Amino acid sequence: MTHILTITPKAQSALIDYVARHGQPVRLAINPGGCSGFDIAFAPGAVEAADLRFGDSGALIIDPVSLSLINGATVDFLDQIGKEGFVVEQIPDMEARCGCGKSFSIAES
Amino acid sequence: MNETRYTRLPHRGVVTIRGADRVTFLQGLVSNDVRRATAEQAVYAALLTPQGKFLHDMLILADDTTLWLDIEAARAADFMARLNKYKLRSAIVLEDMTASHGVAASPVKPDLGMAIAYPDPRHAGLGWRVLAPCATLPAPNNQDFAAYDRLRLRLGIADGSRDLVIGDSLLLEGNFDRINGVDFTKGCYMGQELTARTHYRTLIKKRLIPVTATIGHCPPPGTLLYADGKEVGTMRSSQDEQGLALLQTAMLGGEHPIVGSGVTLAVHIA
Repeated sequence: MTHILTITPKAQSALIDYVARHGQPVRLAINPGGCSGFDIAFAPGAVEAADLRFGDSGALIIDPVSLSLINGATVDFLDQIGKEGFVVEQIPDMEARCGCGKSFSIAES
Repeated sequence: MNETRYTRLPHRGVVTIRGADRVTFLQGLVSNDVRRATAEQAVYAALLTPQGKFLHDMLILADDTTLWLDIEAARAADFMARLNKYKLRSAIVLEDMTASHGVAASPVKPDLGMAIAYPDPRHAGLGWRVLAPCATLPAPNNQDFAAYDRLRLRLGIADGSRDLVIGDSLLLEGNFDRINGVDFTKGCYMGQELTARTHYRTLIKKRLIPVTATIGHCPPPGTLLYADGKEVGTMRSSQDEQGLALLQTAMLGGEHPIVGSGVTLAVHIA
């Protein structure tokens, strides 16, 4: 399977800021939970052996299990009032998203 | 040993979750606060679709290493598959224990060596619930089961997919807010948005309500119920004349009797 995450230019510059601030790459992880079952989390994190790296200088890291749920999606960065931070958009297998946008569900296969 | 009669509930089975992430994992998926479960105090909860529709109900117990879940035995495989879908990287081990462990009910505190016994968290009237190795439990007995089931029906308590439609029913239709099955303050869990919205905006239009057939038996589950020729609800589970019906709450207390398949039903609003 090809691993694809598109990083928007805005997200790319936010990643560079983030690494400069935290001294660590940004870990994108999908965890069980949230209103829709799969919860999206961004946090500073050390690189682990199985991780895949995206973005210039590999500033975004993700484990293979999390990536399998959002493969083909786009990582963007929002800087609106009340909505600031990294987001995952255009998740190919997504069925629905909760109101706050932090979690999503996937159609039954 | 006292003379208590344990009623085996053969339609209920046991699934365990072990591993360091077991509480966090289940907490993100079900309608009640898993952290409150102990070996003496169970938490009643439901697993919902992301859209807030009923999938499974469960009584949750916790000891030092394990979450013990009392679930529908015939649907254990579906329950396990659904939880496994959300396991991701969580350090948990799921196991279907239904072949070796079973569930019983008892009107008073039971005295069984190997058992976990706890007051049923849904309603004091249901007495004690027991989770134990099958060998220590009595064999299933239809008469005992029917007596327990009639008690449950009188109290208006849903019994999993016998009363709630899989993938369709809302928790509040099944009275989960009245039988300690939902925590409205625990934070996000799967299906929380619709459950909270129906609660805070009182959008619920129908509920499970105890009914009794005035003559003969209740009609079978799924029978449409009418009042003055208008459809007002659906029959759910029953034992003889005692049953539960999903009824439109606005239609209750009217002068017209509720009828399904030629049987007139008396409605018992708590």
